[in-house]
Amino acid sequence: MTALRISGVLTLIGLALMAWSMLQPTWMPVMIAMSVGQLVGTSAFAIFLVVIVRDLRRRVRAEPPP
Amino acid sequence: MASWISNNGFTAVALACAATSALLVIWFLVRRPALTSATKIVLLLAIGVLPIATAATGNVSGYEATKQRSFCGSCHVMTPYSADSDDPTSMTLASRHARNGLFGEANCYGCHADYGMFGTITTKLGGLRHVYEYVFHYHQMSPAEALAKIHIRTPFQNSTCMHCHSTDVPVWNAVREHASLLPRLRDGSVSCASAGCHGPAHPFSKVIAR
Repeated sequence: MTALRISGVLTLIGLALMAWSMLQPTWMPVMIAMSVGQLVGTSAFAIFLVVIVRDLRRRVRAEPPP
Repeated sequence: MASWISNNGFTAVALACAATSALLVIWFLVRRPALTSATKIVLLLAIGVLPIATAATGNVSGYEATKQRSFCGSCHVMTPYSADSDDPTSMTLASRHARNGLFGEANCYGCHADYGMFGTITTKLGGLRHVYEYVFHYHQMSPAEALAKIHIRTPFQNSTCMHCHSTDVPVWNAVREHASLLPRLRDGSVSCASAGCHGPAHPFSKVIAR
């Protein structure tokens, strides 16, 4: 759950950077949103996927064989 | 700002996706629900689908924003150029194009963009070089200092003008100077934007060896 919360916080940071570039479309916000913002957002999604895949594997292993 | 957002559908969609995503993430962080299937689906939307939609539509919005004169003028060393385009009394080539509805707020991009199949890509790569030059060489300069140093990297191509002003139409060829200079205009040895013809493009234009 800690990893998911980190993922959530990273998502908020990425979204904030992307929203900043749209509300103030000057060179610095646009450059930051298209590089750092998207990198942070992609990292958040990657963490989410890792957590979900691990959770699914753990559940499959925990299930008794038929 | 509100009118800019409403004029740009992609921006509105991106902001709506970002707001929805943020609300769902905040709900997850504050309420700390158990990791059930329903929570996973909500998180897939909040951390995956909606941010990807925000990034996709935001990218389009960002690329469109980079065509605006206000974006070019957001580097302080470019403000004299954008101010000249904004000046309704200026008779420079740039300002006259800014007053043309077909160019309007996108007059910098309209004349400085490369054309052809990969024109947009080469233009954006050139824009990245502009950012590099600005951050590492011009950021600390005053506009007055920068005006003396900034120059166009390669001579302005007449083909950019000819993208709109065709040299094949009779009206264009009816101008005596056009007809007599046609071969030299096409091979680029005479510039449309030279001082004796339609230039200078900007009040601070410099002569570059062709």
